[in-house]
Amino acid sequence: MQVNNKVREMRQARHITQVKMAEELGITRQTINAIEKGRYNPSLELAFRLLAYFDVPFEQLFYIEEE
Amino acid sequence: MRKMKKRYELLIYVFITFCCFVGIWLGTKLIGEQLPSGNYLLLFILVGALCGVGLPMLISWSNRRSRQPDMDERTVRMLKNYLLSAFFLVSFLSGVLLLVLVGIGHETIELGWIAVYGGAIFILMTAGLFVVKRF
Repeated sequence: MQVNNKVREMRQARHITQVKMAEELGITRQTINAIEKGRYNPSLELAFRLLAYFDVPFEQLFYIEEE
Repeated sequence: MRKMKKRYELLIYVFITFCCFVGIWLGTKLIGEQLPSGNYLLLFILVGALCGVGLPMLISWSNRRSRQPDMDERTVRMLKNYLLSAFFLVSFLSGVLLLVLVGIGHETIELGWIAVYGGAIFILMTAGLFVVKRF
């Protein structure tokens, strides 16, 4: 069971760069890259910040992939 | 808030520099005349303080131009994991090294070698910290 996300799709749909997003969320660009590639699961706090940033409900941004 | 944080950071750097001075003074007291003394000693302390404290301070200030933070939750987690693994590895390897040394017949260890070993580990671990932070 793996937590996946659609951060990259959401970001690209809004024409936002990783650098701009990192600056606005107060995190590093490397973290955004790691989240997008599924190498890092954000903390609950950061997940809520991402939801507020994209203004979408939880299930639209994060989903669980059964193996 | 940021100004206050900057002041605290400056105080920490001043404290570290002060500790360097105290450490070197203590070293010269304990070891005696084997270490350089007088103007040379002052030069060594100044170069050491500039390279060890001034350089990271300069890098940190130059990085602040970017609005991106230097560290975040992922960096902290990675640093914690790295330090934990490094601690385990160093403890394990030191134990193995000690057993090997006892095995080949050494009964005493020269203090200088321990200092060299400790210094090498410290340098390697610090370099590793920088790599992990950028990763």
